[in-house]
Amino acid sequence: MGTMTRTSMLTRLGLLAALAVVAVFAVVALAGPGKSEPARSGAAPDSLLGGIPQSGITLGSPDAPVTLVEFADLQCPFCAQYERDVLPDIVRRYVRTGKLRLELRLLRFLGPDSDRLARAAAGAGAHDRMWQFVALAYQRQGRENSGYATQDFIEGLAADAGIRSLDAGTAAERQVRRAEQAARTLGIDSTPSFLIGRTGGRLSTFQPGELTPGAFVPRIEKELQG
Amino acid sequence: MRTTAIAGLALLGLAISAYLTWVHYAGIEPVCTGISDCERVQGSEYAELVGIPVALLGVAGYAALLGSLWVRVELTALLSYFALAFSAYLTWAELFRIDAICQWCVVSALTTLAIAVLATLRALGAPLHHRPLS
Repeated sequence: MGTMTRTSMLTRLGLLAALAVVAVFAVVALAGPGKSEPARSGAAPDSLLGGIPQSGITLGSPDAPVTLVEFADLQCPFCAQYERDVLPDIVRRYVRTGKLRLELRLLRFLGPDSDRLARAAAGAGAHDRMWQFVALAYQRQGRENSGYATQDFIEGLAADAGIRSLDAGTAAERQVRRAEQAARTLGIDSTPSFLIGRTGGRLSTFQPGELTPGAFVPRIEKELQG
Repeated sequence: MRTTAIAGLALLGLAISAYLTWVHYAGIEPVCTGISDCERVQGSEYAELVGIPVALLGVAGYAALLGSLWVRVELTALLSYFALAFSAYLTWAELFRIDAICQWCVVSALTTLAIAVLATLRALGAPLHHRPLS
């Protein structure tokens, strides 16, 4: 086989390589994640939450057989870790498929920034956009009690969560108080804390060994079978 | 010789992808070395493409590579370039988007690199021998 053939084969392979690169680039650009949120860490919340029913503090189908309740403080770093490391997996695997509904009860025990954020998130719940708001609040979480949750900061979160006018007034305050009341009754004094059980039935406290999807999945599966 | 090496590497890739696919659907944590954070990579939004776990795409890709060894040398080369380009994208995502690395993905990426090199050499060398499976 002469040099000509070898050269033409080299050209052919070069074209095939170019084709492969272009095709993969096109596929990930069109279908890959995180395309709409350029510089910020984390993805646009709608890439995870889009299309999932949301009502007030609840995410997921009301008919989902199992409910997982989280008590959180938007300033708490472990809550942010849960949001980043565990939630996406749980949402994709169980919430989007209609097996699990999530409730988020926000507390404000860390300080004034927590209070402002919790009430604003409750206000976002009135627009059924609380989960988007919370996702952004965690992505942009500042140093604890540094006063970072200013009015401007909160308005920025609301705007990016797709909420035009946020009302963090009396209704929001009432909702946060309800969460605090529930936490007191259950003896919850740290965040994140979890309750799990059949929807509409009695929920029991659940303490995952670590904040990884692997620590939550077996328990969710158990409830789904029960 | 090159064909055997590609087949061996494709089987290695197939084994890794199959393991990660199983881990994905079983909802358990992959075995992970100290410096890597497989759970984070596996749980990230980059672990799926249009709802399909990338590990499952890996199974399909490596199986196709293996099957192509009985077809045309150019097909193996083309598939290996697809695999390499996709691995490069996933490695980029690990380093710059997820900020975590998983050793299974690194081994798989290196496997596709080796397969791409071998498939290129095989395609360039093949007409000299006229052997579909050497």
